[in-house]
Amino acid sequence: MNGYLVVAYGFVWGIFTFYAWVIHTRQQKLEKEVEDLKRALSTK
Amino acid sequence: MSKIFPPTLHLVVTFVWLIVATYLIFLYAPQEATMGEVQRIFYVHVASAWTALLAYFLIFIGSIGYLWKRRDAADAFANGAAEVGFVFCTCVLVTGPLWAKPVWGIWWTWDARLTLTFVLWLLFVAYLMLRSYVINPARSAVLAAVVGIIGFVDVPIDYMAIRWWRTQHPSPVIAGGEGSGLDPRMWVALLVTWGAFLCLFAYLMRQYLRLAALRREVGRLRRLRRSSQEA
Repeated sequence: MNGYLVVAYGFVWGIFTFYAWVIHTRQQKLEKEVEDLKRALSTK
Repeated sequence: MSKIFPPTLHLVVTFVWLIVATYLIFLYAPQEATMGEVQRIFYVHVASAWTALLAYFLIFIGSIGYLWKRRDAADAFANGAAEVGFVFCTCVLVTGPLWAKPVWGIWWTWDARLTLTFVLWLLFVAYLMLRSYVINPARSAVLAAVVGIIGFVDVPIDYMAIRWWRTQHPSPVIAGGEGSGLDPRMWVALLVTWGAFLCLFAYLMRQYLRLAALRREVGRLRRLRRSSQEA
């Protein structure tokens, strides 16, 4: 298969996967912070 | 929306759609006679370009909405479109030269279409930099909205560039005049790929909007905790 084609498709699928993973990680971090804050508020 | 079409189902649909698009690109669409296999870059290049232009249109809509009503939701919508649109625009700028090099013999040339697409990418960068570097959130939202509205001028000019001027870039596949157009099977592959990219764009936007809602929730809870500590 043509090398340029492989690089182009590899880059496109790679950047989409990477961005989806970044958003997911950011969400998980914030969800944990929300839980921690809610716990801290309920114990007061 | 989440009850009718939950994010997990959305992700599965996107994934299946992308697999179907890949099948059509590599096994259904015919090989182009002069460019050969490398022409198959066209499908992701064009689909990314159309999605990036749509993303900037959504920034424009969200920015107008924010300046008019000052709603956080409109600002989050524009910001999400900028972040996801930046990813698609980056794909355009990377896949373009990878297609150009074997076909034109050069990676890049400063013709109208290529330059205006680069300007579009810079507009996405400018928008996102404003969001990161201006500390006051309200001020950052207003400045970014202004960039979102003014920058939109680039979108129709970029789209029309290959119709208005003679450029190194190939003529358009839609209404490109004599000699332009595509084989019907290429059309199918292109439209299915664009559909898959739009589905992916919508999924990433949903995820971004969820992220923005979580940020607002964290801010609200922090303020609540601060006030309870002061009391």
